[in-house]
Amino acid sequence: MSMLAALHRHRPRLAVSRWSSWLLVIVVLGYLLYTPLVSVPFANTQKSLIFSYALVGLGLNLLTGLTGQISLGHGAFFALGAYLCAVLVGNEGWFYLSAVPVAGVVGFALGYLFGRPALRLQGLALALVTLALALVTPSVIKRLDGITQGREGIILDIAEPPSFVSLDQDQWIYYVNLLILVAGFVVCERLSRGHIGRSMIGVRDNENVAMTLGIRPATVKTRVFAFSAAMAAIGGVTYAYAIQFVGPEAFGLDLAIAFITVIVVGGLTSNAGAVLGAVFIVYMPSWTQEINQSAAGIGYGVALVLCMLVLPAGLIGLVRIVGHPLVRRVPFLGPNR
Amino acid sequence: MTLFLQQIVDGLSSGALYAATALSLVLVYRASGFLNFAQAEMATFGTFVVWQLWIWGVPLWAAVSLSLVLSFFGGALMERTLIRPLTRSASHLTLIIVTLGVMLILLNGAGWIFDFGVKEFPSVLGGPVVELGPAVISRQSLVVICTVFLLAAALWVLFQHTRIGLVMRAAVDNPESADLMGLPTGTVLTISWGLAAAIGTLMGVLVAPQVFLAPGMLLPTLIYSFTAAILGGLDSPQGAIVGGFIVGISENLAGSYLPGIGADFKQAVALAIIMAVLLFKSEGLFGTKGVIRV
Amino acid sequence: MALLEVAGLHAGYGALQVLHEVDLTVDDGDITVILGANGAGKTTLLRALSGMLPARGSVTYDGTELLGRRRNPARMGIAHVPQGRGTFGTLTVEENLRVAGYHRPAREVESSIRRWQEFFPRLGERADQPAAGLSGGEQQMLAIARALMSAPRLLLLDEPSLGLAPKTTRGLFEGLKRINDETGLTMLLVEQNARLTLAIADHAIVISAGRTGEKRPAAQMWQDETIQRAYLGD
Repeated sequence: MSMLAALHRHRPRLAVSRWSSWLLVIVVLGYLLYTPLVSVPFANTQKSLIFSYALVGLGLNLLTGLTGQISLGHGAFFALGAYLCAVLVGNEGWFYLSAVPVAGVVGFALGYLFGRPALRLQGLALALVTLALALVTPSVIKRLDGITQGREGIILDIAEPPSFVSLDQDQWIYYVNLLILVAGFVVCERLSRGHIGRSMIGVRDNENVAMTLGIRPATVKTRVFAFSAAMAAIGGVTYAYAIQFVGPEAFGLDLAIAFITVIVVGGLTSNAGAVLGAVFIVYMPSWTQEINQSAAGIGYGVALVLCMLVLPAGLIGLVRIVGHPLVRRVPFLGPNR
Repeated sequence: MTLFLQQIVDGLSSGALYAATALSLVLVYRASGFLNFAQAEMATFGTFVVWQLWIWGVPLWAAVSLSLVLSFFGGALMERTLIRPLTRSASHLTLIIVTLGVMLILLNGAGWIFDFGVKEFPSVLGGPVVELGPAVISRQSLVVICTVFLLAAALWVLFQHTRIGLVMRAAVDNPESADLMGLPTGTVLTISWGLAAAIGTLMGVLVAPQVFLAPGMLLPTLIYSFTAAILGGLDSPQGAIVGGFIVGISENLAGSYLPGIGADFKQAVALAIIMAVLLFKSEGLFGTKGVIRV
Repeated sequence: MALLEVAGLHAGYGALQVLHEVDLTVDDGDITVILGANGAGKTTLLRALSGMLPARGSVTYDGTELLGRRRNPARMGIAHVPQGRGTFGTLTVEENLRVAGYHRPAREVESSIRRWQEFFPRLGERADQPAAGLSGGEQQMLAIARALMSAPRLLLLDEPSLGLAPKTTRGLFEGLKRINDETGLTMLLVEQNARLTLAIADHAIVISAGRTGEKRPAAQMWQDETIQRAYLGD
């Protein structure tokens, strides 16, 4: 029991010295920049996919982790981005990067339109409405077959590397997705700190108190929802780059649960956790597929249950459990230079 | 007119399934105050157990009985081990995630043990279709509809005319008072979960011959069952039944008569109903006011 | 002889400590009243006695230590009528009574129901109506009758006069006194309304800021000037 209590204890983010955090950033970025050059295309595509899911996870982390609003329906916005990309770039011949801002704007707008009424609900009611949105998504895609080509889906060949770099397509897309993720990460890190972050946490912890501080909960919730929808839509664009195919069945309940897994396993309230969660859901199937094709799904399920019962702070919580004593004891790692 | 009648009859048969699943959802909601997202997968798993026993040569009635008992204990076990420790302290988010996790485990567990291929499942009642005026209905569908009404009657007797049913209603009405009086509130929670699971398996067995047994066979109906439970009012068993039939019939009619809906888009009707009920009349048709915090 | 003995009881809600040092005894067959203002810890005391709050100290009931035991005090003959009555609004009046007899043999339950319906005739008249439709006074009667259905040895009553008209309260208290006279049932009452409670009580104790004072005969309390000022409004 005491061990359980220790795992449940809230731990703040690691306070590390400036130079060691820069060192960490350089090492991680260095690895991420170098590795596609020496990996097989499949491995690069897998990582590009991680970046897509991480983008969604970052948005959901702001919505669920910081603002406390659950959504099981972000698969819909992910699908929106993916199809916008497939139709505009694949069929209409737009420049592939233009899909990113378009998906961001359209995702934000539709997220706002859906979130405006939906966020009057909370807790279970909100979960149900967003779950319904996720369940409906594949049938909406099939219904709009004039645009989406229905069940067949759309096969793509987009995001060619420019002629001045000598990279293969999978490598190029890896770098494009990585760049978008880094940009998204920086934006979310900015948003989750400072005044905006505090107003989100205020809404999560106590709406009435937040209101006395001049925060309008409805406005904050709707904007965060819209922003997270935009992030999901942009994630969808990068998904279309990585997979080069969109089809309705990819965007149903499975995806909705995968997204929840991303933020829960990674650790709610941490941007880095959202990225770790994305790593988990993409690699988990490749680790387990030799056992059985069902093992990955069971793994997701067990991870969800275990996180809720034993490790509410997810993987990032584990990192902190290990990291805190390390930071305290190892010289130069701690916060005071 | 014939088409219209046929749509109503078809709506009744699918509505019966939604009603039964909604009934399970409502039982759990009354006990624990949240919806079990794993309900449909629990039913499918129970149905697989029946199938396996039947394949091994156990007579169908014995297989069903055994699986119902196992389902009851499975549901009860889930309540005791996963849900109870969390209900007092945790938020809805936590509980929803746990039941989603259980759903994944059961879905893929069934796939692992029984593989994902579609299985043929024996009908309880075969034979030619029954003619109802110009419309027709399969014998199995009639069994499904009758079973739902029998279930409703049995639950009514349980709640209104048994000691434990009385305690169940008291525990739902005012859990703190019931605790204070030393009523076995924990036991009735567990019983509710067990009953919900057993009802699920029974319906799974009855619809499996029509939808074909496979992991996730009830997932497409999940949204309609949630809609039925919400429309009926989340804490009302009779609401679940009425809600189930309304959803079944309107889904069928919308699919055939509303321009631009079609078979694929019918689920959007469910989304619209859920949103409308939650936003404008959250207690549904028969529920208690304030039954769900919106 | 003391049926209930409380010594050095501390209790509260999480970090908020409400009871600091509560000592009291309740004699078998007595009506004991605890007088206190809002926030003095009256409700907290009863909740701690019923095992609804974690508490430190000692609570001895009929020779048995209650604190730290898993058994529900309700199963040991302690019935608690909570503040706000806590009746089951969606159950009928009679079902409210019946469910409270859950742990007793069926035959006893039926005769008990009849007995208390005769004692509180309104509950007999309204037997088949949902409890939610009762008036405040009737709700309180129902809550008391429901507590009596478990055939308790000790009845805990949390501000039964709350929200009732003085006349209704008087009738209710007369009923309690009659039950005490007829059955010898021990009662522990917490109240703000000193005038009416002292009239039926044998002993009284004052609680303020989570600490109890000395137990004294109720008749003596009438004479006490501070009591008169604080609770009798003179």
